[in-house]
Amino acid sequence: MKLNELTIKQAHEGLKSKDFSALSLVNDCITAIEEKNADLNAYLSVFKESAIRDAKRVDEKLAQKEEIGELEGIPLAIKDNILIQDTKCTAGSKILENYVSAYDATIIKKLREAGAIFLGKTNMDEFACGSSTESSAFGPTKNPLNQKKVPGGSSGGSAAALSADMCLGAFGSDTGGSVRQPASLCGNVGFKPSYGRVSRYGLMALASSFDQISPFAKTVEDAELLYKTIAGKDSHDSTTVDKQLGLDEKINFKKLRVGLPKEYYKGLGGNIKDKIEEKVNILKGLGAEIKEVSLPHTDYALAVYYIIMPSELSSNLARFDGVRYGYSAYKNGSVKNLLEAYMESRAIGFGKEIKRRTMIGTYALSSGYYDAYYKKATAVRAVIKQDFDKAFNEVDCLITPTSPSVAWNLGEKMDDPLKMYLSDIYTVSANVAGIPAISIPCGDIDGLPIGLQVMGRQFDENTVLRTAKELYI
Amino acid sequence: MKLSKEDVQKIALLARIGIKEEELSKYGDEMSSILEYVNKLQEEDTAGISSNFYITDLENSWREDELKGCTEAERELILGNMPEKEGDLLKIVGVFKK
Repeated sequence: MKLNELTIKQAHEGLKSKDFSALSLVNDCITAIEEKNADLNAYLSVFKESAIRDAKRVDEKLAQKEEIGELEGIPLAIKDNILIQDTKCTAGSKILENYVSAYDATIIKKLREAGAIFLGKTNMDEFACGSSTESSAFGPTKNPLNQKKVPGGSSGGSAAALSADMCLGAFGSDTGGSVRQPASLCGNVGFKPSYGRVSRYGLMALASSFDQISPFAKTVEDAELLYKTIAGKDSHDSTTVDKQLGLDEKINFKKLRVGLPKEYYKGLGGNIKDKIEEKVNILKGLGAEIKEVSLPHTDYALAVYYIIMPSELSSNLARFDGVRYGYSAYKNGSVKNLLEAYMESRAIGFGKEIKRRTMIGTYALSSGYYDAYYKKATAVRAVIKQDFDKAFNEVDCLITPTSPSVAWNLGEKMDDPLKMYLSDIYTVSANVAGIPAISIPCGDIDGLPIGLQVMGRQFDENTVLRTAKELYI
Repeated sequence: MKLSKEDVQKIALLARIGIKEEELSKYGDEMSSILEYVNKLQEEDTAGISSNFYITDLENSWREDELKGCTEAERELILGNMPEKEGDLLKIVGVFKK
């Protein structure tokens, strides 16, 4: 077995018992990147030099017989909307093609302190707007399991990098499913914690009331380790909460109540349904109570999301004006005044999907339409949250599919934005309600993986992770 | 409701995005179909439900309004990202007419 194919846990054990060095672990990942990245386009930039330097540092520690932490020497991939000081950060956009991060994101700081090694930055839909990683200004990422297929999105680069063993773990951002859905399509574990658990300082904002940085891993155990490392209150992000993680509690499966929300299974393909049922039966065998529940406003979740998200996006992306950083039309001397400089910088710097969403958001917030769109959507969001609160009075977690389909062909949904949006239908609700949710592999259809999603009560990551671990390694 | 070319032009100006004349109707069609989809929310009666809703029980978070400064490395990186400058000053197109 090549070292890059190990899980984080296995690699840590190997490093600790000196079966191999941190340098050989990093080198195996870099070899995989050099062999595969030209085809897959998962990484936008690779930090070969600093990764090797950091690995040698870990090896020195090991040679001195010093203890190493669980993430020390572990090579990771980071989505290109998370800042790593003094390296390029593009968010998949032409407007930031040459942008260099001035500081480290909080999660990067925490990972550095834990001794993790950064291999590079991964491809993504522009500003995380997409479900297939095809809207990147730097070309699409391909699914390593079948290169004619999309890897999902928007964190498709991170999902593909992990699936192709070009790293041992990865990070993305999940605003409406952008980690869970690509994890599902690439056969990984993707875990979105509750809103407020992880600091977004240094993450380029898409929609601030939904955004959550989330790990990709090969196992639930690895995902939990990555999550634990980055979680916690941060004075730089006032939405973070100061609450115990509560991850060590064992759960008694004989007392676990598992809900199957009927709205999620309506119209779902038989193949996916059967595979999920197999997994649910495992929990039944352990003594868990399985029952059908209803989340009556499920149908509205996607509509709520596609009003509030573009509204917040249009506001967040106002900073890209060609003045302080990023592509500037003014610099080229082709414009006469400030208004033209804004219009032209954004016309050239932004791709189609960003233009579309910014305009939808601007419209939804504009005078005369604000009540009918934005205000209405926030009220319905409260109703959806109530649905979940009611369901969680009856059950401890919910099991659903992650995505309505397996990976689709490259280009298949690019001409129809609404069709693309519908691929988020099972994942957005967790962001709308701010609750934790994980996607784990659950069999395949013709070699293309299916994802199973477990959702839990707000801040009850423990039940979600324990349940997922029972169903997958 | 269908957005006309003029509607799209108006929204694009509000959003500060230059849209070419020949692209207006395509954006109009796509945005109209998205708006038609999200309009289903109008079916739901939300009378009595506050739209002043946030998913976690956040309270105001206060800190002293004080200058924190940044490191020299951060300063250099921030300056390096500026599209145009004179010395260490950011140079932009004039806001007011002379």
